[in-house]
Amino acid sequence: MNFLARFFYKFRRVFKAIKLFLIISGPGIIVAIADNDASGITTYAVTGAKYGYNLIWFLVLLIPVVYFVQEMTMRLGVVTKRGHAEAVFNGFGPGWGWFVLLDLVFVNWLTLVTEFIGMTASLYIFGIPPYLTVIIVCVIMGIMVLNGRYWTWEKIALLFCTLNLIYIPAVIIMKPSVADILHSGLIPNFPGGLTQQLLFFLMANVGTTIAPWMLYFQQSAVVDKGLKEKDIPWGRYDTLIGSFFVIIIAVFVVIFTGTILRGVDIQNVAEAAKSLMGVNQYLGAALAIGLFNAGFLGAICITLTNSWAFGEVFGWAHSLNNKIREAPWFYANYFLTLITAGAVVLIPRAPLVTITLFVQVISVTLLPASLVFLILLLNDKKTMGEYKNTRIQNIITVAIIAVIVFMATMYAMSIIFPNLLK
Amino acid sequence: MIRKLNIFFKRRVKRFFARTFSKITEINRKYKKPQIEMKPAVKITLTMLVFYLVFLIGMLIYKFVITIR
Repeated sequence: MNFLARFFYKFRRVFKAIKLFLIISGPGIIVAIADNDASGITTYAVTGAKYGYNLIWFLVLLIPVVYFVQEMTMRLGVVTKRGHAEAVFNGFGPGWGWFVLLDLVFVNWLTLVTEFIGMTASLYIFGIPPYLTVIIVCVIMGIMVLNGRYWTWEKIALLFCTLNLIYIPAVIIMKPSVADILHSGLIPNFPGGLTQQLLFFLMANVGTTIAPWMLYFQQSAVVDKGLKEKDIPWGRYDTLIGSFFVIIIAVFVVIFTGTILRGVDIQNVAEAAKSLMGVNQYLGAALAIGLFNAGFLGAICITLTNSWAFGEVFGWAHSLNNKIREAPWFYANYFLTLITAGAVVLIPRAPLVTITLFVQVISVTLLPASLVFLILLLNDKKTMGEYKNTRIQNIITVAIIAVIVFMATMYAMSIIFPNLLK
Repeated sequence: MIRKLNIFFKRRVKRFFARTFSKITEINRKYKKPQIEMKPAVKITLTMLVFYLVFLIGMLIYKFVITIR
């Protein structure tokens, strides 16, 4: 009886903890999985096709990087109760604030264009014309924000996050050689040497895994969700799980194309899906559906990030818990961003895959600026109190900044001096 | 009729821009005093980093233009 009583209370404690985690979790998992957006899937797919399994080790190294960066933004949002843009305005004045806000808007809008590129391309395989995809997506995204509260939006987003796992069963069906994956994927190597092209792909992979919009999104999401300081440990678990998932999905996409499309020059993931359908219709459909889902998930997060950031700075009502009449500018900004980005995709003969890859590289090049403000904010004892950054966290973040700036410099040098790298 | 509509829309556009600029001025005034004091060395390093990153973006745009040509 004593044993039963103890078992019951232990079970109830664990059950309560899981329930609490499920209530608090969301921002970390959503931002991480949404990070595997259309441009991300494109980048990973092209990487896998070009280099096989050889760059998996590089992606695995990004797990702690994603966790460190996102954990800091979560902590900053919970303690300051401010979004990132507003925190920079408040902390450093209007000069830096406008730079950060315009940087965010610029990169986010470009990234949103790449989401629409992915969505239109994937549905085109099933015979749906691009203009119709743009209209359908805008309507669905409109319904999601106008008819619900933040919690409703979050739960729908989490549902789409689970769909992003479609690559895992797809890879299992393919039965790739695990020995090959472990041998060529986990031992650090630069296939073909450190060329300009390889550097470009490494940067694109970093840029798509740690995108600036993720900093702003998670910080604003924890504020909109109303998390408190006592929720920080659960927020950390949420972020940790998200960090693992983002890289696991990335690795599976690389394995997917690294197995079935190795050596094939992919110009367009949707075209790759179409040609795959001739070989195995389920795998082709999985790639196409995964691409659409990834684009949609990215789009719903990125448009919100922009609207939150503007709302915070301009002092508009800026919560999904506000109705359209209470927050007209918030929703106006949301739809304006969405529609203009969708319109770009409809421009005839636009170089869509090139745009996708370049946007990732631009995104990672501007990331150091956002990270510097993040460190400065997190080291302010007056603002953060006991939740200030530790020395280890500062060292790691500075190291991340240094590596990104170094890689971006190497790439720029290879453009100016083409013979610098092979 | 068209002339009246033209004047109507011009006035609305003018009013929109005037309101936006006054809002921007208000924001600048609101956040005029930064809460965090950056040391001069940090300020200079950050400024240099930003200019450098903008230069790198310029290189990327140049490479993009060459690639699509």
